[in-house]
Amino acid sequence: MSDREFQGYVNVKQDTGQIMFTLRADLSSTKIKAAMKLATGVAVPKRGSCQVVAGCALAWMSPDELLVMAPFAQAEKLRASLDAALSEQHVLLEDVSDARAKFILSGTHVREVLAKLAPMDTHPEKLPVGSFTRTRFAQVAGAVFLEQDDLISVICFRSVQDYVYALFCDAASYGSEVLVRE
Amino acid sequence: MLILNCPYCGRDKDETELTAGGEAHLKRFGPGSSDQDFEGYLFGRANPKGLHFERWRCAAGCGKWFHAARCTATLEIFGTYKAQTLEPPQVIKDAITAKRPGWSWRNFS
Repeated sequence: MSDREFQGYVNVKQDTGQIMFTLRADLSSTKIKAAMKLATGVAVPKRGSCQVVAGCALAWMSPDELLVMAPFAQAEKLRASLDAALSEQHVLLEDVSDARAKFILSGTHVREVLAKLAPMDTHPEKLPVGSFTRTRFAQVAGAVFLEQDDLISVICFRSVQDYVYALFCDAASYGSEVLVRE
Repeated sequence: MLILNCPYCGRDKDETELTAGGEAHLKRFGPGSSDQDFEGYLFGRANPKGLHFERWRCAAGCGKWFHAARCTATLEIFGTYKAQTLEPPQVIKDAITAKRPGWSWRNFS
């Protein structure tokens, strides 16, 4: 993996500095919510959103799945605190850092680039800032986190990272603007 | 092109993000059942022109199976609901009744 970057009318950059855990658990359980808050310092997000506190993010993947993301420097400490907090709970916790790839899209027109590749409504009413949703990019599955109006994180399987990177570079290339008006 | 709202993740999902799962509300006839019941469970599927209840999976999404009530002729969608049920919830039935008075499907009406 490399920290490759492409500058089009939207900037596409790979972020290799993230650790990711998948948590499978009953997210409606108050014990799970309390344990996750204790371990990460982040509240379990509401349906379809992602919570970030001090670089650590909890993303809602499904009614029984969370994605935990944090900088690599926090990896060991985070794993230890998650193990400790969840030891009494019925959960599955797995380090999926090497199975996932993350790209960061930045620029005023990130919603448009996303709309070219995913069959979803990217209007701010349907996809407000803070939204986290799973979808597909052209042929492959992926997830989107709308961090800011001009900053999107895209997560996909590492096995398709080259494909997804090429897709977004193509969609963000100069000359391919659709609705950009100065 | 269908757009169904997944009752688990709450997102409007495009048909290409979903997997079709065929008819909903099937009753399983397993070991010990009569040949006729078993054959019906395996192969007997309604193929109506009009109101239909179907299973769909939010494949490029939260991954959950849900049910949808829709019209196969007009592609009108009456509603989607969670799969942990033996029959359509009353709100779905009411929505269908508003558009298709006197409807019936299998044992439901």
